Amino acid sequence: MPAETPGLELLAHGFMRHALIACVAIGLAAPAVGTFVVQRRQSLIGDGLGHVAFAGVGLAVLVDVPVLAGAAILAVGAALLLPTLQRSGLTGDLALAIVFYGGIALGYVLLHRSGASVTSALGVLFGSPLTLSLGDALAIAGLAAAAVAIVAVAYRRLVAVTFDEQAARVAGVATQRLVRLLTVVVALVVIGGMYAIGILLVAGMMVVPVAAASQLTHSYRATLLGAAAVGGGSALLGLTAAYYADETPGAAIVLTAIACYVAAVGLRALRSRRQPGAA
Amino acid sequence: MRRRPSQQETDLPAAADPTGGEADETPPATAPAAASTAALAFDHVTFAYQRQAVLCDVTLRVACGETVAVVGANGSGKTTLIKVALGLLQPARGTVRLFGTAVTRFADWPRVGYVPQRAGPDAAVPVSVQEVVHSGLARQVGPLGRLSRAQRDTVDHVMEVMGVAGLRRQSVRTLSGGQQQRALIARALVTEPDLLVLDEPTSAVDAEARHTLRESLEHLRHHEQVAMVYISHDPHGFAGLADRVVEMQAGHLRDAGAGDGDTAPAHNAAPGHEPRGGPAHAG
Ligand SMILES: Nc1ncnc2c1ncn2[C@@H]1O[C@H](COP(=O)(O)OP(=O)(O)O)[C@@H](O)[C@H]1O
Ligand SMILES: [Mg+2]
Repeated sequence: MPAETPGLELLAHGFMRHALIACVAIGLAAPAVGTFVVQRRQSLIGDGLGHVAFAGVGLAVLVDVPVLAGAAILAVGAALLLPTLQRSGLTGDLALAIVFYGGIALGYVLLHRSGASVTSALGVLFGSPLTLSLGDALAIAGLAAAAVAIVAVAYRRLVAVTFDEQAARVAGVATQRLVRLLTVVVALVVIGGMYAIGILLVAGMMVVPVAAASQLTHSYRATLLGAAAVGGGSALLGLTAAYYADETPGAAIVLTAIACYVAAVGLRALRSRRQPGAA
Repeated sequence: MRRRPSQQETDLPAAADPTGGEADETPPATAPAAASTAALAFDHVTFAYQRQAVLCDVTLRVACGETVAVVGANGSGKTTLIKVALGLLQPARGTVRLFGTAVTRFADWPRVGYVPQRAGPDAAVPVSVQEVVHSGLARQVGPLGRLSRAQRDTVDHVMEVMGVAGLRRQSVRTLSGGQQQRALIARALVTEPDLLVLDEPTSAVDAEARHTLRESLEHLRHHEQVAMVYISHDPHGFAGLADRVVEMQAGHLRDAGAGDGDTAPAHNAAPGHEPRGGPAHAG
């Protein structure tokens, strides 16, 4: 090994510290929110809201306001509007597709108009955690913390609604409001993950760690915590690997999470071969 | 359930049970006095999905403590009837009342337990039996999801009664159909409801599990005075369990006669009620 302790050498760079704060925070929060999204079989909603956030980025650059604010306004607005839109006659899927692809097209048009470089567009599409200031990193960690806090407060109601929406209604839960809240939390994570992991990849962090953890767990709580651990760990490992291999961090993080999924599937197969009765 | 422990005369009908304040929930003027004692009342209810009419002018009364079986062919509208009863679907015409309150304004959901036809087995994320049962309390727990001492005791009690206490840490998707069904019933019971609505509790359940399930329902009926409405594809319902059997036929509800319930409590002790086994339809 060239350096004394690789981990410490890594931390000597300010930009690496900022990247770690942002990526690990999103790595922990995205799967915690994603557990509910996967259970509702809406794995692609994060992806869709990312497209809308991209339009917000374009708009923010064009009118020269903070990019995070522009992305936040459009993505949260879309999250609040989606349920209404889905009830508005167009088949659910179609309404979503129009909003989502409209978002990415509009975003690129606006970015192009503002004269922003292709690199800056790629930065939000695929993530650019190494360019974050400490303030950026803390803002991203704050968004992640807010998402986790909301999930913690509404935890039991979210479990009830995502497991069985109609039974939850009969149990007195305000299901529509809760579904809207969940969509807004997804938007928060997407915005937070935009620079850290990238608009096109952050949605993967809501899904892949959950798929990995659920191979080996028997409860919702264990799945959520396991998925958060896989997500946080993948962020740490992926970022470290990207640093040494000079690879792009967002992609390295998602590929690490996918490797965890493959390992979990293997482990599960091994486990069920050893004790054929158990699933 | 445990809310009236001193009234354990077992054969005392819950309908005649002067449970004090419950009648106060009746909205003034809108409901006749007799309706306030019905756990569930359909009054000339019509429901359609898009064009297809599924419920045609259905009238039904389920008294407190009464057990009614709903039978009928596949697609005859039994599940729809239950969803309209619980306010999950809105009827085109007519009114539905729970404990005397229109279902659209009903807020006392702990008094109602719902066991859907199927849920959980196709869950994408593993969920343990205990978590399923806890989800019945989702509305009652504190902000961070902490259960009170009493709530924990109730959870333990219903899991014991339904015979799933030993499975509490298992994922529901690894259980048999009968075990899953009993976990869902435990979830419905965890708020100690006065009305339990079950959609085909015996589907996907083998003969032995059916027997256990029947005993559990029998226990609820006799010792906890829970009113029950359950759908059964068996034409006789759970023979002997129900006070009354009604049949759905192409959207119309038809009285299929009194169940042969062994110690069926005498309902309608209060004046102004329809006689037992009276017209359950207005077709
Ligand atoms: N969500 C729905 N949309 C349109 N039609 C439906 C829907 N659910 C049920 N139906 C139709 O309504 C009729 C009654 O269905 P259901 O209440 O499920 O019957 P049962 O429970 O007696 O089998 C059937 O013809 C069914 O095809
Ligand atoms: Mg049905």
